[in-house]
Amino acid sequence: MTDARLDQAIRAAFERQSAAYDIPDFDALLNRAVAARSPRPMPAWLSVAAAAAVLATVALMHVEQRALESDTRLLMAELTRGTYWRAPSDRALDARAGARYLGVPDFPDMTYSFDEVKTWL
Amino acid sequence: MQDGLEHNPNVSKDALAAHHRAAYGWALSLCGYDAATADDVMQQSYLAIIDGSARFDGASSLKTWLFGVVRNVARRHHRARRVYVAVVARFGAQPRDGSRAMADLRGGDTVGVALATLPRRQREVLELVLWAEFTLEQSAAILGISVGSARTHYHRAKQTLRARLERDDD
Repeated sequence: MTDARLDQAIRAAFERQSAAYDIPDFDALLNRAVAARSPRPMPAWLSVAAAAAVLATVALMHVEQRALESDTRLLMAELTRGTYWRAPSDRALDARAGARYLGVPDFPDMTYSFDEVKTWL
Repeated sequence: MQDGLEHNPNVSKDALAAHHRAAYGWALSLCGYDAATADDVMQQSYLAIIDGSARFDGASSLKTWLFGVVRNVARRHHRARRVYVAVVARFGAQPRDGSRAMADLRGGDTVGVALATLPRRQREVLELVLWAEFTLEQSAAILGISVGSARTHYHRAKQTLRARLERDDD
């Protein structure tokens, strides 16, 4: 078999192979590619879901904030009631020494009556 | 009308259209003659050209560059498919396989059957040189191999085919 005949036979085989398929329309394929690049509008149900998620997050943050405020109020109430927290190494407290110990904010303008001492463990 | 090729100022819609048929044939070959996959690969190739991720700088002919883009997209597609097959196999399912071997399609076509049994790279070089009419240098650039390697694949492929066809003739 000559080289030219072999080349011709191979070309013909590839040609038959290609001809067995419908070539998709160039414009249609290009338009599909252009459409695939364009940002698509968000579906309505997705917008509703996103809005609901935002609302739920805000509500949760509000609840947490309220809980935090509630904890702070409880702590302040306990402090003003006269419970005093101190570190284990501290010696016995003198009520007149004021609230200048570990973990307790210093409120120089307030008057405390220390009737109970608790120790952090 | 906008043709969507603003990111590739050196490419015109008409020039792309002129090579569309050949490029699609190349995509078919790279995708094991699975038309649906070839469609996807061609669309993704055009998308890469439209969004500028594949940019034509005129260093080669437009046809050489386009064939290279199609090959790169097809390779990415095959890698993604391998991951898909591995994941599906991990869960014990049977992956959908749309690819068919060339021999299945050509039936009694002696040359077609012989071509289908060639190593993939040899068949690709033959297709680029004899069907798409690229030079060996251009084919090497498209396949990302050296010219010497492309030449070796080309000659070995023809040697193998000649031997098979002559044996069939006897």
